[in-house]
Amino acid sequence: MSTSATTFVPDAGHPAAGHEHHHGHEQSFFFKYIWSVDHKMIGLQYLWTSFFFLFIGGLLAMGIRYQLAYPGVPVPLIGSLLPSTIASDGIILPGGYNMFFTMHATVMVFLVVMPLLIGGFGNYLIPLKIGAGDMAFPTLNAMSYWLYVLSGIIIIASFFVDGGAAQSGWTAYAPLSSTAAYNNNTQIGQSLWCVGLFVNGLSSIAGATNYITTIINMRAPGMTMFRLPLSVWASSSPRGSSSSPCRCSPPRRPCFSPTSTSAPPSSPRRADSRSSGSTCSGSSVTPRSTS
Amino acid sequence: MILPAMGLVSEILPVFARKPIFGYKAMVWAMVAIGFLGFIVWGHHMFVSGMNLTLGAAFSVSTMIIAVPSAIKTFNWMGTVWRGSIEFTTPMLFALAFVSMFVIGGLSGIFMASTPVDLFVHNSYFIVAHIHYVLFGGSLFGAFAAIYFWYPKMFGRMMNETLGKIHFFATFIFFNLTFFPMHNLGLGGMMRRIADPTVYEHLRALQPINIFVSWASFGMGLATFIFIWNFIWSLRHGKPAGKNPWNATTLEWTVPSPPGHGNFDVTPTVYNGPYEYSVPGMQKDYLPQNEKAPEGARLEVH
Repeated sequence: MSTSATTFVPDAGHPAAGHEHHHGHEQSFFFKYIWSVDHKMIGLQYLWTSFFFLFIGGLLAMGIRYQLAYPGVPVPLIGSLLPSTIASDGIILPGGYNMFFTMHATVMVFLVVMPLLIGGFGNYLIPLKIGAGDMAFPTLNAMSYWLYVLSGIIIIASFFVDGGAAQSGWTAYAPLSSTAAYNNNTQIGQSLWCVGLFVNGLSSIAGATNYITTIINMRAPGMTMFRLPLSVWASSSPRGSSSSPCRCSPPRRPCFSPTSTSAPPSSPRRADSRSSGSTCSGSSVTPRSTS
Repeated sequence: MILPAMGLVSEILPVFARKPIFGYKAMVWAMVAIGFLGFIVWGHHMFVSGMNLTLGAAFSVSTMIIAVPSAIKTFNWMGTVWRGSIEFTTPMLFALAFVSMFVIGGLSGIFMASTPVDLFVHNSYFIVAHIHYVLFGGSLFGAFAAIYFWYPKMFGRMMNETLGKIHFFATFIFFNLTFFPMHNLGLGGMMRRIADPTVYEHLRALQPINIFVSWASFGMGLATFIFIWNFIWSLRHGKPAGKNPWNATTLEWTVPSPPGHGNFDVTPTVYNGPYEYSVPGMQKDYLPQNEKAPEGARLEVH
């Protein structure tokens, strides 16, 4: 590791940095790899963590595909290990299948693709590509990563609570997500899902603030906006425009009022569609109606 | 979500085509346009929710408009690789796969944007096929391209090319075997999010396709282990990468791999745009951003 402290090291301008130790000398394992504020290490942390979630999301996808190919056949090898909310005697229940596709999409979108592309590569590459020493707010950057980890833990933990994980699809549209009867009569999984996404949104907003400030303020001399590599443009424009407001979107809000969500299903047709395992396609138009 | 992948792929294509990106400013404004239009298309998820048809028409139009900047980007990528001297490295293969899969997903997206069509295919496996062509064939292929491309910068070693190519072809083939038949399943009437297709009379004839798709997806899952192995093995045993293994121009390739703390010993000064490849009038075929152009070099205007 280079030990030269330049003017771009964020702590170098700090009055305390003169007599205390410089970063990059002998950092303990903990500060170097875990509690790091270096954008490169945070980028790699994002990378490894999203790989872990990619593995989980992939396993969930395999579960979905197994069920669709062999419905009613016990899952080989790991069937007996599945929680009782997902499978009985190794056979995946309709509710368990709903959890699979809901959590597959949630994990892949919010815990894999966005952290991997924006968190991982954005963090690693933006300062390097614009000629900066680090992000504008290194600590905020670390906070963004740890909020992402926290959201991942909350979302995965919802598999193991009473009633199991959310079952209303990753869109979580309100009648489905807010009715307890569609969620094994508990709303715990769905509520955890919402809290997890809320925390994930905080992580996104923290990251977005950081990226935009960095790109606007910390470009090297001569790096005009139209000399920026396109990946820098790409990681700033969506973060500024779409990601922050999307995370506060209305469909998720009903989940935060559990008192209003315990109403029984009002129409028996809904209940029927649930018993055949199709909670989400019950009321919609499908090509089936054409035949 | 696709935008960061678009940006990363826009970096990789010029490097391995040894040409400047085609239409830099159009690419930038297309990205800004996609970022803005992304705000006003959310209603296209809800055409079947009983929304007012006039509102549905508005969302239809906004969704179709977003195809314009996307097409600008696609044509510019094609213009970038057009008659370039292409090196088919693993990151380039993934980047090219990104472009072509994104086109397939984008085309099915355009006609689903039309409300009357969407009423028929919504909540069917057609939608599932579309989203996976965009999100897996798009974003995740872009991510794989980026991992193979920036791995040397991150860890100082190259990933194994042979394993990388096996991983690419296995993923690419199994990806298409998995998700293309889903179009047929959807048009055949298979609903999205049903736990047991065999309880529906009209879906029993389609069950062989479901089994085929599942086995293809298992194959794709297994192919990922090649990638994991390659990633971990190369951490210690990969060929050491210098500062700039791909002969690329942007600033991250001017520092050691992996870069030290603080990134740059001396703050770099930037003289050129980011994609100066095969500049006429120069000896070497690329011009790093922090090097002044020699006399007589004819640069892109930035």
